Amino acid sequence: MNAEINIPLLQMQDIEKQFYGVTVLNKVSLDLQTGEVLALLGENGAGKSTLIKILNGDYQKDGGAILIDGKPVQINRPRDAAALGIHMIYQEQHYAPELSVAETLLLGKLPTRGIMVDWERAYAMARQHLNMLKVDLDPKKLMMNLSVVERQIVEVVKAISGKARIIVMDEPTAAFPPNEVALLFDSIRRLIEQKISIIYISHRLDEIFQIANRATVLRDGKLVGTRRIEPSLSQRDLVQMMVGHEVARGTSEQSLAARQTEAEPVLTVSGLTADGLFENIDLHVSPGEIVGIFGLLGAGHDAIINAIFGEIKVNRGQILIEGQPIGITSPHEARNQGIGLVPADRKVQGLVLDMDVRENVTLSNWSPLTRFGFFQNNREREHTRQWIDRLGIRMAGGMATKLRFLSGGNQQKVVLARWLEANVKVLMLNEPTWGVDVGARSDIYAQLEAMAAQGLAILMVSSDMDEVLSVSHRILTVYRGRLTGQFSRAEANRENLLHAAAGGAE
Amino acid sequence: MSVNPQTQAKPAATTAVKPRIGIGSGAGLLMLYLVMVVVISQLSPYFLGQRNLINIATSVSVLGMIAIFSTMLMISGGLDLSVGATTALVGVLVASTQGALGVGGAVAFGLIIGLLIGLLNGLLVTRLGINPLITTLGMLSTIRGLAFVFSGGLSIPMLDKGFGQLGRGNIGGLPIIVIVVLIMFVGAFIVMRYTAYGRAMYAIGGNSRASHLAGLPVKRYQLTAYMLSGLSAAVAGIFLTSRLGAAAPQASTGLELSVVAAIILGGTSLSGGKGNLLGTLLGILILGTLDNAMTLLSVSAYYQQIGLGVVLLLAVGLDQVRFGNFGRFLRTKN
Repeated sequence: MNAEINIPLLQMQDIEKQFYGVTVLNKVSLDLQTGEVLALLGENGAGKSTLIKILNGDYQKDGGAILIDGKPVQINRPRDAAALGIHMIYQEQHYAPELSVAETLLLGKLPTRGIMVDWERAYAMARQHLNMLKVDLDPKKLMMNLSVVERQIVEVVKAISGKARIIVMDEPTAAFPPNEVALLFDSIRRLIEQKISIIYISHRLDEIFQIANRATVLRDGKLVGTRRIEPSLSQRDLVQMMVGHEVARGTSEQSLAARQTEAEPVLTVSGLTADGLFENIDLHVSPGEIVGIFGLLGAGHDAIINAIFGEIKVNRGQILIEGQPIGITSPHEARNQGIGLVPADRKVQGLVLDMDVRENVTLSNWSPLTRFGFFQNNREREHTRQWIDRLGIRMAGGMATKLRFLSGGNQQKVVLARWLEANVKVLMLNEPTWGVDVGARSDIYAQLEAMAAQGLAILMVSSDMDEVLSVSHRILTVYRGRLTGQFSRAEANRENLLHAAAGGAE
Repeated sequence: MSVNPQTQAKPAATTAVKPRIGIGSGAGLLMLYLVMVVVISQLSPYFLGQRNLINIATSVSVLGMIAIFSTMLMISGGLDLSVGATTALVGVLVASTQGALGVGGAVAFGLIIGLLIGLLNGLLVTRLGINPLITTLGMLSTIRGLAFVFSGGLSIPMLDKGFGQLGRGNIGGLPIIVIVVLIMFVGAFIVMRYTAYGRAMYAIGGNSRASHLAGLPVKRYQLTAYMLSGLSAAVAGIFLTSRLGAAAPQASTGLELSVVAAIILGGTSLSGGKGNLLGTLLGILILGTLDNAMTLLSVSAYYQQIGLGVVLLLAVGLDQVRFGNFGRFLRTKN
């Protein structure tokens, strides 16, 4: 292939960027051919997000050049990028909660009849767009009533329906159940046929191997290299490029063996029912046990832990802690009973973004850090330091860094640290690694196992089958608000989990 | 395009590391105030005299008492527009019950009324979920009306000598009312900066949903912030009545707007989570100094209002230019 003749659609050359005097991009280059999928890989903080934000005009580069069709372009704001045919799907969701799905998809181009919006046609058009991804979603539904996953789907559909030459997808499938990933890939292949190019950021390497032509890897703001995706390249090779050293992944067998000792359950739930959400849920978690609840989109599995946490009103059933029935009507009471919850949407539900790492880590439990209501600063710092070291939380400016400036994986570690600091007996997690990269993900898994080994009971809700399979000691499946299966670690595999989670008979 | 990243990075770095100081309220506002003081002292020889300075401090005391606790409330994401009306109602009730309850009893009664008004505001906001602006606007009107009902629209004198000392007495040359405000300020400053209660105010204002899900009793904290606001308005009403020797139902009309102006001027965010009391102190001083200077310079009362408005817009606008989107836009263009 001759590069002189075949000019890349997009070239980013020697891009440089600094924040607070810290270099986050050091002469990073990439190029994108017409009609290809380029994977952009790297751990949290490697500079991927910064690079694409520069491409979209959200940030200004400090040095380097951007060329489209071989000609230098100036991208000062997102509008410039849009005019050049660059469309973003960010990891963080930006949406107007009060708009319907149809309004979101057709924003600025709603069909009209006279001065009135032609709703009939708008809904038909929206349905047509949704059909491109084979998504069965009511276009009249408001964005705020959609789940995190459904909103992400709308974002993807919106990008695809726009007139883009380059679509950048930042973790588009982070919260997708496996079958929907395939649907997105079908659409991407259709886009490729239409000569649209994709920059695809994902932490799921198997996806990269399914869909990408080439992969560009960044580490610590530097370009490690670009590799063609071909049979001779292994996932391990890419991970090594990203991390800089060899990594072991997955659960160690020793911790599994330790699991076999069955202790008295610390949390028992019997006959728990919230009308319209879930019915007759029985489950128990023992100290040292990690129980995974797996369900597909909309199965109601996340409502179960929200109910245990006092966020959803329960109609019937009982919750027992160490055999004692308790009535929890708020997260405050749940915390006092030793129950913590790591929510799915950490920016909205998990963190105070304008507070620093220290303040967020200690937010759930002040009593050991205060005397007569006054913070003992040294003690608070020591506690925070301990969790930063233990979980490997990385930030630019020490523990006084605001959460806003941390990457997704590090933010999630802060939420996790908060509940560990609060010394809970039962830790519940909702989609614990949504939008978290490979490195931070294995840190989080390792920490969950370490905490379990020390006697913490963990109840994890996830739509990520690999996650459930690699972390849980025991797996429950939920379909339409009912438990449809229970598997030991040994019994569980992709087929029987999916079968049970899709409502299949035993 | 050769922007030096070092110089661009610096302001952001200080905000990241020192969250409570700086931002909008620190250096810029202090500079503005110092410039104001220098200019005014050139225009009027009386301005820097000890008597005038004490005058300024006394004149902003009532505003200050309320603004301290309103700042705490606003940092937690709340808002209380009923403070001016509460000041008047408490004054009227204290003055009209002094005969029946005695001065001490009347004062205690007034404080309880303030607490109850705050409690009601807080319950309406947290339990019924009514927007704070609407809740306290409704309460403003209701309470003001009650003040007129209980007073029959007339001023009620309150000439007890001891009581009068509260608002007019001195200790070592400093008015008691100024000393009280300073003590309140220092106390509130310490609470907001060093205690769990202060931390809760910032956390709830920053993200009430996340605070709730972290296990904080958010509604209980919000309730106490409204009660403190009501109580501070009652204290202010008592001092005002003492200073004037009478309670009037129309007293402190529009005070709530001055309170909000001083707080916003001080850099506290209307949406909560950000701000600090030092900023509010500066905001109060700027409003009080400006008021005082325009009087010294015999500016007509009509123009005084315009002057206050323009200064508020200028100060907040400058802040946006320095730290907001517009400022970033200017910096990257140059």
